[in-house]
Amino acid sequence: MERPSARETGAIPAHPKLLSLIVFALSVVGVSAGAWEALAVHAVIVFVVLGLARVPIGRILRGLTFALPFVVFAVVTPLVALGPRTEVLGVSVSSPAVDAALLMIAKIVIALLASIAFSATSSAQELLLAFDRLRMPSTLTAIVSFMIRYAVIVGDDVRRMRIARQSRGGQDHRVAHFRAIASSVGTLFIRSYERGERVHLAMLARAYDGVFPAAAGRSASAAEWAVALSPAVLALIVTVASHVLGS
Amino acid sequence: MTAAIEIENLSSAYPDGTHVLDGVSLRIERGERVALLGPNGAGKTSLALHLNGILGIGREGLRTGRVSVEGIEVSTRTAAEVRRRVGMVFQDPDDQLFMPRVRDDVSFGPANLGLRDEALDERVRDALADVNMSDHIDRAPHRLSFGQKRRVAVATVLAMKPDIIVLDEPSTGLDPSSRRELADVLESLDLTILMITHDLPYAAEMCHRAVILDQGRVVADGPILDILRDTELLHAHRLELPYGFSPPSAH
Amino acid sequence: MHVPDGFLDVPTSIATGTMAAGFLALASYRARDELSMRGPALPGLTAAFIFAGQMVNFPVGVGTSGHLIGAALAAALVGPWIGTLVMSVVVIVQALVFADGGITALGTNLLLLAIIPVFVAYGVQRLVLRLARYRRPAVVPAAALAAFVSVPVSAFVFTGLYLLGGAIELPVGGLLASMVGWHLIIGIGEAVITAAVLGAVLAARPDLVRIARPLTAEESSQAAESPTRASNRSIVTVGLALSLIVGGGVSLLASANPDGLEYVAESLGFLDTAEESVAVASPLADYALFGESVIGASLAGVIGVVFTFAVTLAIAFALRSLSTRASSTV
Repeated sequence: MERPSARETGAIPAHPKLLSLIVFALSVVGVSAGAWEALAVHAVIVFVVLGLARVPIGRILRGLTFALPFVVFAVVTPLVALGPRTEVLGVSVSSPAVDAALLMIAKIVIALLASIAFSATSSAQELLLAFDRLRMPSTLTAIVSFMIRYAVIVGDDVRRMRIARQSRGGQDHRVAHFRAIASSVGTLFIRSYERGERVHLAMLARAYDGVFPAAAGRSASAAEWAVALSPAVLALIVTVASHVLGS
Repeated sequence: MTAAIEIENLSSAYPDGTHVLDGVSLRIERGERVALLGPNGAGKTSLALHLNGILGIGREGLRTGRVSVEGIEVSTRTAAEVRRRVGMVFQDPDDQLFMPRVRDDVSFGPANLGLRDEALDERVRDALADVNMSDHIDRAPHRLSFGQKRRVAVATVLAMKPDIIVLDEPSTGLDPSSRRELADVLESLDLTILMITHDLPYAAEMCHRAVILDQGRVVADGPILDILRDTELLHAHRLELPYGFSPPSAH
Repeated sequence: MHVPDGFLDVPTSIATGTMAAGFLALASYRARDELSMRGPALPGLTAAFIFAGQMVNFPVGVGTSGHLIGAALAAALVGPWIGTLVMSVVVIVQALVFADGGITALGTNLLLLAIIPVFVAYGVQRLVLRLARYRRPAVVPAAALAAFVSVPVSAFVFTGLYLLGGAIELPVGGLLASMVGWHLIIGIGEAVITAAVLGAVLAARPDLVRIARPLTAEESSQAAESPTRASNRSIVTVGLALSLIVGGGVSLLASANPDGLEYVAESLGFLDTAEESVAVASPLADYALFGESVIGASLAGVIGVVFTFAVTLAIAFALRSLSTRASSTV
């Protein structure tokens, strides 16, 4: 099979990739207990995709922090879980829970890596096009579109307000300054809302009549569909095979 | 001959009864470039929003008087046509550029007018070429400089092929060269222009005529250089020329 | 607390995904008039606000900081239907643009972070305002109480989902106590932040606060005609007192850990394993009931749907009966 270059992976429209991510994640989650071989294949697939897409290591590590609390959860649960006990390093733990916990950690990490691969190779605009192609309700897509467009601007407002507070001696870590922070967040809402009203006027001024136009985007070619879906299809086959062989 | 803009005795008020516009009458001929001056809160932006029926029609029609654009009376029925003919460039380009890419944003207006495919693409390319922003067609608006944003905002309006273009504080926040670039773009357009501004030198450069609005009333209307030389008039309405600037004596 | 992929099994994920999609469709349908009149820009900007607002750190004492979750605030500011859409969009963008929250867990996260808390919060807000006869000073306390309640309710539903579709069998009592207990504390933080932010908005632009809008002369006079039964008030008071006692008790155990789930994991580790015997009593916790078969797994999924739905319905009915009782005693 011809491997796509990093550039090609990035250039594939997002809708086949999003579909691929959903199928891949379901395949990972669907692996049953003990089917470690299946998860190993999934791990290889996701690392190959990350490598081909040249996702920076920093981005991967930052993304993995989202899994941290749940990994801690999985590590601790064998201590209190049900089932026959066994000793690990002198601590009594539930032995089926140890296996289950390891499986859970592996699934969380592999699926998260797949999500990172998707988010690192798909811009917000491409995501909007994907929503359109995948027939998301247009009102929802429109709201997502506005949110993405203005999150940067509202985020800048947050930064400016913090600097303004600090310039006047505000100390954000002090409880005494709670109210000042709260009122700046209140102001943030008012500003955002008023901007929303102005944006709506700007839309009306350009003949908006209630139908939000789909952003212009191209469809994916058969080859792109094949490239985008290949990791997911492979993962799905592995999971199904592990169920068939395992039973 | 039909005027580009004809306003007769226009009054409007906030729901609490405060007057915003108080009997404004104004006639602007085709091809004129007019500066609308006045202190903050004089009703300038409100007047502009009446021109394309965003204010003053429908439910919130707390308005008396008449507004016509290219001979068409502004009403709920004609709003769509009027909004095509009057292009509104808002003060903050971030309010106007709300789509993910420049291309989508410029096509928003003409797409709402029913243009599709090749015709739509052509409109977008032409409009961006008019403001010298063709190279930025696939960029995200937040990646543009402020001056570039403002020019794209002008393009979003030009793409609707308007007869009149209304600009709210077009030079605010621009550095000198962006200011120059925008002026060149606007000079090159063969359109009726109404420009709301506090930037008197810019107004003097771009416009032939000035109208001063204060407390919802037209208090002066005439050749811009005459008005700018009338220090007392300017002073009475909280306007002043920048230090060291004096309007050219001949016009 | 964005649930990642792999935490809950496939049937549960599909069940929550289906439910979330259903609720989103309903919310879009109910919000359509407002959306067509006022356009999608306002909810979009509100979503951007919630997203940015979640990044603001609030000092909550003992050197720690907390941040807004925003569901109760959104419900108060823009109402339940638009509020659901706004919070959902935030959760969707966090999952797909930032990889925060799993893709198969998207339905779960939408239920836990958007749909359930917005509706619980809105219900509580309306109830409290009704009991307070729509007096304006009640708006901020109503929103605070709503924010406080919405967090542990989501934790409660999460516990239910975990018992149905979680990979590791855990003692029900311990899990529930830790999850709900810790989230009562997070709820207090959410209540304080929500109250402060809403108070600031009310002071500057009361017209922008949806929940304060029905406080017109007409409605308040209507409300004044229906005297509230003391029993309703006592229910709320007792509930609030109980929650505060429980929340206060757990707070003694609280470490400086900012993340609820992580704390729960730790505190579970300290729990006496004797709790095991209590947990076995729950048939749902015992996965073996259904065996390992596909049918068993889907049955668990179906029960998951019924369970979550039942919780939502129970809340809705409780609110409705309380509010009709309050108004039928004219």
